[in-house]
Amino acid sequence: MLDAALERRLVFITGKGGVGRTAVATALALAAARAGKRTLVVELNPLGRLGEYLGDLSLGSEPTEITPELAAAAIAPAVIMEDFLTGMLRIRALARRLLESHTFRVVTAAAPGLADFLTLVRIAEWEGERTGFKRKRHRFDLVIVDAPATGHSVPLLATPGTLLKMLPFGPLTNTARDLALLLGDPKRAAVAIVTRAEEMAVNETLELATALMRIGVALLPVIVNAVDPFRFTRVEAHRLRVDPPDVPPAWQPYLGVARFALARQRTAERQIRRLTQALPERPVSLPHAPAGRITLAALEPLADAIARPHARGSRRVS
Amino acid sequence: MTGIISNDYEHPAERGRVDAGGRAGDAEPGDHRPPPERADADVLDGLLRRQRLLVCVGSGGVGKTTAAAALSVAAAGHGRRTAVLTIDPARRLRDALGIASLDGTPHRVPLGRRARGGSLDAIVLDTKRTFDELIERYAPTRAAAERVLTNRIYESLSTALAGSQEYMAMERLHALAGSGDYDLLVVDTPPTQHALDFLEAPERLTALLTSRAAAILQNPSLILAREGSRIAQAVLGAVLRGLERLTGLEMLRDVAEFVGGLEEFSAGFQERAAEVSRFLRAPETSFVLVTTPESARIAETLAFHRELVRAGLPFAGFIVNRVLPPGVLGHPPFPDVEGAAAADLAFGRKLAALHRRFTALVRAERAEIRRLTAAAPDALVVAVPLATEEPSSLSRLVGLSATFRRADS
Repeated sequence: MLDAALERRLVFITGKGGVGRTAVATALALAAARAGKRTLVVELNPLGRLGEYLGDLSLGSEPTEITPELAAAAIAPAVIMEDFLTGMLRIRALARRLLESHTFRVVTAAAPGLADFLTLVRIAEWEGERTGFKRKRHRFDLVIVDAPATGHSVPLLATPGTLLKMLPFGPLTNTARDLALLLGDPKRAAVAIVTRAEEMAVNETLELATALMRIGVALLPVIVNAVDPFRFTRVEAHRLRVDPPDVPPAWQPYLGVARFALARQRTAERQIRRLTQALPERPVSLPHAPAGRITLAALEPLADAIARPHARGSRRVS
Repeated sequence: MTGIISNDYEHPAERGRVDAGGRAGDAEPGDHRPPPERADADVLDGLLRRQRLLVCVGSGGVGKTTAAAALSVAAAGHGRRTAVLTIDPARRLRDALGIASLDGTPHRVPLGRRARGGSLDAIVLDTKRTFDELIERYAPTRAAAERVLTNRIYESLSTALAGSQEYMAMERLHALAGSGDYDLLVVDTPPTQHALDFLEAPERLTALLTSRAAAILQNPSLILAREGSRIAQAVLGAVLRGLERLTGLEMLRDVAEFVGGLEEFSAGFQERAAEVSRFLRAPETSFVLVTTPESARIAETLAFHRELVRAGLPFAGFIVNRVLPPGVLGHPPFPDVEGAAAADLAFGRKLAALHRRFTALVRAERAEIRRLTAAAPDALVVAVPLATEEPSSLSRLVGLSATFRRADS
């Protein structure tokens, strides 16, 4: 999993709401930084928790250095719009004033995809591409984007293509074309879908994978988050399932939990098997982040699992 | 309990039949769902029999759509004509509810005998179609409607405009409530970062429509009239021209025409928004917050709760999804496995360790749920046990709906 990400320069992390995208994006960034890549992890949700995970940092649109190899930033639509206007106007106070105008807000709200477009431009600047606005030096080897959930990720990644259709000519067209080339280049950009070993999350993952393939972005192996490492062996599972169960009678009080855990284990395995069968690459399973507050230290086990060579789907009991 | 909820509510038809004692429910065989807090489930049951509108609010991924579907199945089981309005249900849930297409029309859910005289329709919100209908209804003339509907960028604007999905959900709700076809509407709101986004959407959109946006877009110098200095005027003028150049002048003109077209019927929109706002605050409306027992989700839910209370909305309580079923922990005394035969020792230790882990998890979840009751002592809290399979078929939804029903019903 890590190798596939390290070959790219831009990786988007998406998936169903609540599956742990931010934790996985952070863990992947951690693993990449440990592998010696200068890595930037970017959050697009203005109310996201990336800063909290990295040690209660307040992230802005300029990268904050966490370690020499790891930096983080947050892109908020309002800020990026202000930066964009400042670039045009050269005077920030005037840009602010314009942004405060109700009418201007109406215009920008009504211009579909403008914020998404500017967000992608900013990401591409970090990636180091010529964007039509300015050229930046290669500060980062890898940019990891904690992208929005399924519903908004597809339109976000489709923005350059949509824009090219709407505005076939004009000053934005070249930028849109560059972005489309970047996102469509499997050597440079790829998307990783995060999911859980649950039926509805896997359904959404398979639909999302199809939608992303249609846009023409490369897919990394699907990441199955929060897989319980606890496993009953085949023999143990059999001993629990036979009637009466093949355990000393005194153990009866333990059987409720055991059967429940076994049923959950089998459901998870079935869902991971569906992913394995439907997708070209085997999914990668990550353990639960430890309970309680998520910190960089708490994400180490996830980073370890991402870095493990040949990380495989879970063993099966059936 | 909050003002509108009384613990002793009885549906007239049920009076005298209420047996406060045992619980059977009609969960499927082999279903080891323990009963939720019975008193709270009874209050929820009362809401399902009495209210006209239930609004489910919560962050993404907590099972909000599933909860809304199960609540509406339970209400239909009380003989009520129920509709569940959902935004974008997962495929399997769509299948479970028998929704063949996402066209915004009501689809009858085949509950059969389980409906007990009631019925359930599932409706998936179609933002664009609702917008179309709204425009057709309020356009002063057919030509005015055509001007908007045929606008080149109307299609993307009607769905991409900030808040249009939320506004259209409220709009559809209003139309359904006015139709007289239903006794109860259950609404699954879009996942939002703020609980009130969908409530404020109508106001935001009408603010847009009553602003002089269209006039200004067609003649940007109007925006400058209010700006004091000549320099500021010159610079702002340059920006607007620059923006036009960048985005394509035609597109701005289209936006102007579109907004201008809508301004003609903004009075109708405003009246409508005010009616929706009244309906949401009516005594026959209840808001339910859906969450899971994880620490981060509980914190978000508490923030939603504060927002709802501040806005004076009729908050009824919490549905906590995916709570570990405490019943699986079994009863003490828990045996010591160390005395087991050598061949069984490893297995026994594994079982005992698993049991210890579940005990700790159940304890942690209870502590999280206590944060809800501490913040809202009068609210109901209904725990939905984590099942080994998700409620992705109709029979599983019916099983889940039993969680929300009174023991004897």
